[in-house]
Amino acid sequence: MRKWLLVLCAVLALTACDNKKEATEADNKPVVKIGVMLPLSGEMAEFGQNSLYAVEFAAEDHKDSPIKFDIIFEDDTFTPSRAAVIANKFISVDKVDAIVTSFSPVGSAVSPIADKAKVLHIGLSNAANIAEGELNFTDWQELDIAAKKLVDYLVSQNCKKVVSFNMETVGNEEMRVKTNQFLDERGIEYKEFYFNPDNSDFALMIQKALDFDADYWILNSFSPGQDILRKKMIEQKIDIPVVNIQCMKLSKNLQLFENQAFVDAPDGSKEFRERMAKKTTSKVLNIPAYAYDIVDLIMKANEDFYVKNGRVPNDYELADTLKKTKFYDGIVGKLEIQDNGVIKSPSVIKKIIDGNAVIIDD
Amino acid sequence: MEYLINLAILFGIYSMLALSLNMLIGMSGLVSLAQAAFYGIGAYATAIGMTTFGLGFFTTIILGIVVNAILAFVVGKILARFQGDYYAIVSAGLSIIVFSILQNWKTVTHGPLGIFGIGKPAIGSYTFYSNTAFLGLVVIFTIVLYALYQWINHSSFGRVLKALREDEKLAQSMGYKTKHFKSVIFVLSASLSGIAGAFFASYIAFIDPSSFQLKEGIFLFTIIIVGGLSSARGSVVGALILISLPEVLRFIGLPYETAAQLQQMIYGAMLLLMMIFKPQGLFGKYRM
Amino acid sequence: MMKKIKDILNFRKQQTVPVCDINPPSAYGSNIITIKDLTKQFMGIRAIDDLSVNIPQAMTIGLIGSNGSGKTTLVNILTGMLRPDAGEITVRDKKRSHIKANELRKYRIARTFQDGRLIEQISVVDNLLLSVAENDLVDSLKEVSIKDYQDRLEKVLEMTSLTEHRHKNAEELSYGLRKLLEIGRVLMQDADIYFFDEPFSGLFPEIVEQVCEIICGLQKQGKTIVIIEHNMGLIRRLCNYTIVLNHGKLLAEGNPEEVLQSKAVRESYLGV
Repeated sequence: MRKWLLVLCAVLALTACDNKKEATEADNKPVVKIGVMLPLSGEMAEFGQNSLYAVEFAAEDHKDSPIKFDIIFEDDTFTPSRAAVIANKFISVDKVDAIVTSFSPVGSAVSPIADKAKVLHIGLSNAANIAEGELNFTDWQELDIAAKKLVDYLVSQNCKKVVSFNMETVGNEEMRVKTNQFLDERGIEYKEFYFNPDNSDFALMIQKALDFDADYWILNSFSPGQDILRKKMIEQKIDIPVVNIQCMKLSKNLQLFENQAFVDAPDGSKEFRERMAKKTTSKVLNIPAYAYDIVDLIMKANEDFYVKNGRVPNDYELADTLKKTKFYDGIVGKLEIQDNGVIKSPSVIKKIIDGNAVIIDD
Repeated sequence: MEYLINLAILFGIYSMLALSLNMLIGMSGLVSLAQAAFYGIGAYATAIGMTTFGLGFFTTIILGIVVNAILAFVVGKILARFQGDYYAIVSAGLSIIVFSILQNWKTVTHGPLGIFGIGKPAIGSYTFYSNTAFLGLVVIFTIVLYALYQWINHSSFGRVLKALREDEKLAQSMGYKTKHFKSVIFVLSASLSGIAGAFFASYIAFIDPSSFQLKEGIFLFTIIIVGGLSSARGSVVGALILISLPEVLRFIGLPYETAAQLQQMIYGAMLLLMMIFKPQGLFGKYRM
Repeated sequence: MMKKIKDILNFRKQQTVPVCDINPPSAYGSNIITIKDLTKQFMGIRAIDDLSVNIPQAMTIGLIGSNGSGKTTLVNILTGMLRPDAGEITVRDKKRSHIKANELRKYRIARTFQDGRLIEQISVVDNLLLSVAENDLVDSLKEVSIKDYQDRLEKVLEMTSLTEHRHKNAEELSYGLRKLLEIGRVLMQDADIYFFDEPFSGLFPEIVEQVCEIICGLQKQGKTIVIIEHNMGLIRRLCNYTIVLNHGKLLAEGNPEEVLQSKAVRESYLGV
């Protein structure tokens, strides 16, 4: 038994110290290593796996770059403690020049480690705190922008009064608060209802909502809540249009929402979507599209610096280059890189047309 | 090297958790899946204590122990009404309740956003800022917990626990108030896992409720099953295997597009083989 | 039926080799346990039916009766394993409706079980120590040395031939050794009242002798001993008092010779 344990320890130690990947400058190109951790297994695997394909596309698109980009993927299993260990592997074993993470728990665990080790880190997440420190960035500040987008859309449709139906979950609650903030700003009147799909009296709630005579109903609920409400509306022939943030596309019953609009993160360019379709049938494309943009952004910043200075940047120079870039045209639209490390990216309005979510603006 | 040190810190934290859980499940046969809840409470006590109230790390450890002890005492009374599978199910329920509280009591826990910027331990003017120093501290606490486990294991107290895990009535007939013994070990186990939580919070510097879900409780249970029930050595070895095996698998050069899935499959297969050839765990002294 | 007849034949053969001094001791007359109107039902069946009987002090009592007559149920009630539905038990002049298992040590009562109840996954030594170590919560945490019990432990291990098996888990022992370990556990306790539930069943003759010797040893120390046993030879050989139960009621009690000869006992139990 003891022998067995010794072998395990030895393998671990040897493999950890073995840096065979270092400096493979076969064609004399300088090497920049990017460590990408994604939830490649577990409940978030669909996001992770698709993002992996997207990052591969980004690498492909920089094949002819004067810099050789080495991308190292690791599976963080969507666990902060694992993410911390992987970040340290990236830093001390792989010696990466930049780290990319996805989702806020993972990004939040990696951010202080990257800061301490002085390695550039960009997290795909909606937590602003990840951007703390000079070398940390965060992308996908979605909720704020999404809520604003929703209210802008309502204004553009001449909406004066709305009713919101809010399911009592953490996610929906945050969407409600943010949306109300913009509704107040733009002077749209609103009435709120709370419900729980298991035990609420929908008939009574709908009756009271009708009394308010609103132009739009916000179905701020994931399925099955939004589906139940929508079915009741169709049964009672209520033709008030409905909207929400993101929830609609996750309904298993998209035809219920035919011709209805919702706010979503963009799924990337048409070209990107076609490329992804060759790799996977999965419809989860927005986070992969962001992943593509982030990795592309890092690569472009490296190349810009290299063209100007004849060498690859260190982490501070890279961060500086990113901040100076200010605006970047990515496949999800225009990204704005702020000095505080927050990268603001757009939301889009989509409509369900023939059972598919289709972007209707931009 | 930094990578190995980090891995060692995580290994130390999970060893503490496994030791505290093995005291409960291995020694006294009470299959609790609520350990992640107490682990989480310990972590949150440190996170909130350090960031909101500016307390020192070691003060927050004591805070976590006290909160866990009180909670475990009350919950232990409820759990004492159940046995076997029911005990496990009710304890799983507790884990879910605590997770929901961490998730929804936003004014205190910041809900799903978690708590950031948790500091490092400090004694006087010395801060355990470097990972090596932090590891040293973790090792010291792990050794203390190991010694405590062995102490209980060799005491008459431990003997009574081992008796009641098989035949509570018989243990009673030897004059032991078994309910009290169960209550004490539950409180002790919960409090000690809070220490691991404190180290976890300080190490990661960020916590959110997702780290303390029921699945974490099941992961801890797996550690002691693989290492062996009712064995201090088993707890530590189990933690070593389950923490380091996925890391070792990162280095075996699998094609990266499918590496994650293959790693999971190999990981699963190795656990399966281990259970087939060593059903009692590597150093197990007790079968359920 | 054949077994019972064999038992009687056995008893005639063994009659000539008395080992123990079974003359009633001088303390005879006082009762260490008094049972009054005791009832215990299992799903409507009265296992103990309004039973009133006394356990005389310092006697060796044979508790006999056919299967299902309520012997083990009675012992289980007296050792806190079961709670009676009605009745009163007086132990050492203290009246109570039932006995709690964790009070046995206080009352100096020890017992063995028909099915050999041991803590299987701990060592022989731990099984023995279990019955004597500190039973207070805090004290038991402090007690990590077994020095205080070392002498007695060695003696009991020797008496029960378990010295060489001391570090084995109970589950690794043979049937006979398991029985001996259970008896050893009782011996570790310095009790006044001992209940042996079928201590001889399934044992080889030499181990039967060994157990007999142990029981005789307790007898000599003036302990009160209650033995549930089907082998009448052993009852006559070891006991100086007999209680016969039938359908949860007292059928007869008194001197073994007289009781076993009585018509009622022969008809209902021995079937002769």
